[in-house]
Amino acid sequence: MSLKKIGQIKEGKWFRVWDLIVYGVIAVTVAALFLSVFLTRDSSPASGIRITYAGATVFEYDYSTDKYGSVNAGCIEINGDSDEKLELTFRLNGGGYNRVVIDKKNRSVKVVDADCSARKDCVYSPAITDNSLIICCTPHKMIIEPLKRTFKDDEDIII
Amino acid sequence: MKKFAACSAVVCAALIFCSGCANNAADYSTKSKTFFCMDTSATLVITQKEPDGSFEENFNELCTDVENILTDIENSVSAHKEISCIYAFNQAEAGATVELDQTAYTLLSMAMDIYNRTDGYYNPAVYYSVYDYGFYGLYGFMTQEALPSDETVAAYVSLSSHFGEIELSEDSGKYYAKKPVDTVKANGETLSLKIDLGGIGKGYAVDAVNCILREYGYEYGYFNFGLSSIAIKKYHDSDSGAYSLNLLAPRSTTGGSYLVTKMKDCCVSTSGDYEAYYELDGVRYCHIINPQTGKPIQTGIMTATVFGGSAAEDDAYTTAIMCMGKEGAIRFIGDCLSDREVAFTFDNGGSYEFYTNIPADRYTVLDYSYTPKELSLDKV
Repeated sequence: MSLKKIGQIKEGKWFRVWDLIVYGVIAVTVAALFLSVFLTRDSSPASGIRITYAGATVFEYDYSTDKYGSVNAGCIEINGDSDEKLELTFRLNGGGYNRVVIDKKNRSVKVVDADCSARKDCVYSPAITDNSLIICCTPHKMIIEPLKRTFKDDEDIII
Repeated sequence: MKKFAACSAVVCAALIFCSGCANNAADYSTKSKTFFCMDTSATLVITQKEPDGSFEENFNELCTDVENILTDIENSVSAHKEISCIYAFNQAEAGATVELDQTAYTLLSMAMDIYNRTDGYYNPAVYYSVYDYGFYGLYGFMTQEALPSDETVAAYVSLSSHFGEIELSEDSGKYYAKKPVDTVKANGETLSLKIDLGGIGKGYAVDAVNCILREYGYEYGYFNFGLSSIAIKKYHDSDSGAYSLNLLAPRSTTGGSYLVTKMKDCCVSTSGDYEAYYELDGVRYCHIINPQTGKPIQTGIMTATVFGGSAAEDDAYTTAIMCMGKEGAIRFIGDCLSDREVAFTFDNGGSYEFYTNIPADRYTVLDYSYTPKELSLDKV
């Protein structure tokens, strides 16, 4: 860039009219996109929870019926089941665990302890209280997510 | 100009994003009706996209047609209704020729074809065993003393082995079946061959209703005959247009399923030892009779489900698979059913397994007490 061009820029206005219009449109668009994502998130209460390991379902629990949909005995250990809460431990074959507590009364799920990493992101993740949240433990390839697959009379056929 | 282009690009991006959020849901209306036929219930579910005033009228007309066809089939092939051709066949003397209607003739031809293809594992001539083990009556009240003797059962096996000798013929638009001349003596009586096409009749009815649905042009819905056979069209409220088909876990006490898979535009049939059974001294007696032994199956196979093809054929295949045993079933599926998808559950001494050729990414295990196994003899 020549000294002449630099001089022209220094002397010029900081913002011209078109610059302001473009920045304004971008700012409005970003705000609109953020709001649309925030406002359209599925904040309905979760009907249950599902735990997956490497994409495969290893545990399902339905709040309304208080029943386990499926339990993979190879990696899920039920530690306690009362009217108030269900405590379980996800265990990896090669070692490693995540302790999960399901609060039946408040319909929320939280990881309370894990040995996945020093940061323990899964433990510090907020509890799942609605359909918009998940808890992910990347080192253990484990995901806890709301059970959205409610048994729809018109879609599910039993044979 | 560059600024105008940049501004336009941002606006376009926002419009494209927002268009993805738009609700494109069309208007759908669903109607259903339950029918009672062949001692069980059948459910018809039809969904119409953007229905007009004629939907209700057309649906009622469809229901009338379905009811008529179900009644015709039952009246034609029932083993117990005196007006049916099969009842007349069963009552006839050994060696007699009986006139059949077209439905009974078609169904009997199909049954004989599958009898040959399954090496006799599908055999609708196990009538006497089904009767003596109580499955034509209140089987819940069966006792050890009421079970047939081994000698009697051996006589039934001998008689049913002549099923393939039924002679079918057609003359001047009329259909005939000639009974085998063979008879056996059991419990002081001389018995001639009797058949029950119930094991294939429900599937045949599903195929017939599926044809009607095609004629009416309905795209969404299904026709479910009890827990036995189903014709699935498309589901209106999913991207793939597929229904979630849940396969019942045979030992679940809560009606749970062991597997769910997505299916559309196909027929499915299933058989299971949980549908009608009783237990005496720890032995399970179910309504599926093994033609080789003349007794309720003890092969360890608890359920069998076949997807694709005709529901009538699938209905017979599932019964045959239940009788074959694990190795025989795997061999048969590999040799003869490679064009269809099959799943069966197996009780391996108290631990449950399921075998399927459905690709693993197309099903979800719902009950992990059923271990998935590869449908291959090498892996058994």
